[in-house]
Amino acid sequence: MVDMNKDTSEWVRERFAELAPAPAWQPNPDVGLIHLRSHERMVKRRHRFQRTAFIAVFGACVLALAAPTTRGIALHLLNRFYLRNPEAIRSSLPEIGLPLFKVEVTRQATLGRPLFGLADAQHEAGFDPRLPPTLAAEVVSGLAVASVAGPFDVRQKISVNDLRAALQKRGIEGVRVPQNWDGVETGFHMGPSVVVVFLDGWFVQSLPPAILTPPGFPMTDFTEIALRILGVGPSEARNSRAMFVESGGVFAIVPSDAKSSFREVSLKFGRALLFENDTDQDEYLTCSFFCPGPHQRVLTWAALGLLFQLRSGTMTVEQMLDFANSISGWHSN
Amino acid sequence: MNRRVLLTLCVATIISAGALQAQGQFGIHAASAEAVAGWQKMESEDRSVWVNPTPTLVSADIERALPFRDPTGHNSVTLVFTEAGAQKMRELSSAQMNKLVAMILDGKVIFAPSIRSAFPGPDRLAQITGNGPTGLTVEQVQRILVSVNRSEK
Repeated sequence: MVDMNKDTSEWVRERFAELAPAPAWQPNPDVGLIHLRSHERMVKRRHRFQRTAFIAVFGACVLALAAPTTRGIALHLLNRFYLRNPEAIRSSLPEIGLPLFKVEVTRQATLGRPLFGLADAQHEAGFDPRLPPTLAAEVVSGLAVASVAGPFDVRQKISVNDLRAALQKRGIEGVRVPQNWDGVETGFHMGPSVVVVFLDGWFVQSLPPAILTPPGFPMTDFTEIALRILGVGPSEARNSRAMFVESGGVFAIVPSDAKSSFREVSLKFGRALLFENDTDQDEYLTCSFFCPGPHQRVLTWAALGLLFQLRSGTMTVEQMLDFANSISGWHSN
Repeated sequence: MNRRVLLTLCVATIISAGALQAQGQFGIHAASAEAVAGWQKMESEDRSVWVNPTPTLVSADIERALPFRDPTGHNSVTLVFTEAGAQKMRELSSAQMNKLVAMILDGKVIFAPSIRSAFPGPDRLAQITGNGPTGLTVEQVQRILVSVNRSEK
């Protein structure tokens, strides 16, 4: 297996070795490494997303299906479930060493050309991007770079044998996995995302992603089983299933041994999830795309019909909250 | 009379805009620590370098430029070369082995490292950290981003 961290570190050190700058200048490999990793995250994001999207989504996404009325509406909407609320749980899923799904990426997300302004971003993304006024000014002046990435589509097939094996490895008994789930194909769709890179970090926003299932597929039952496999206890799995009946949760699955911490914080328009990584460990590679790189913070929230993520290695928590609270348009809804 | 004033203002604006655009040019040039006939002597921090007046790479050879500030406050720019630009950069860095390349912005040298091996690799990435105490200045970052990201590809 390729050690990405080691390879990247060596690559950076080799590059610095190649450059012998002016005598006054002192190379700092750590600075370069941090920078390079930051950039690599953009380039490799779609690959990591492939690995984690279905853990993050199918592993723990629930939307309104339990209430009969809602279920009926959902069926008429071709079972397209929108995911609106970021949540996080710790899981020891990698320890059981089984894939829950056979995943096929049907449409790759690629980062588009740099755009000149927000009007271009709106045109390409199909929604009105929301930025703090200061960042919007930086996009216009050229100091921040806006691009549109995606859309991104994945299809996967459920394997009843794999689910049963995973439950068995967890030592979970008495949970029935219906045989007629075997081979059921479901999909995950994420529309275009507006990505703004600025000196202090990355700011990404998109319309809520959606899960597509065949009509009549009992998504809530499936989600409860997935939560159990992810390491959530029986009562919590049942409560979580119920808790997200009306809200549409999209989960960050944080490995149980991850150093990153996460907590809920308050914004003017509601709650947000704050992930903090005070270590040198790059957990972006092992965690979902919610998780921070080394010495990074990630703030994720939903508002104005959009999902937002702010990622920075230099901003304080207060600065990140101020950033989120200053987004234009939140007060109009 | 008013029309003449308006016309003069318009012409002046166009000329000024053109001059600003010309100033914002970013290029990567072969350079030398010793005098080379036909090359231009320029200052880079505390030393003189001689720079080939013709850039090997220009903004159009770079797919995108992205800003970055590290936790210590150093600003830099990551360049992602186009396929053709990456090839040009490899050829330039091979030709300039153990010599200098100069990154020129607004007619000034902002970074003039010596080359020890050919780059970039398949990822087509390179980083401009600058020589200043905080790496590049915010203004330099902005000028590079505008020059690269808003150029015709």
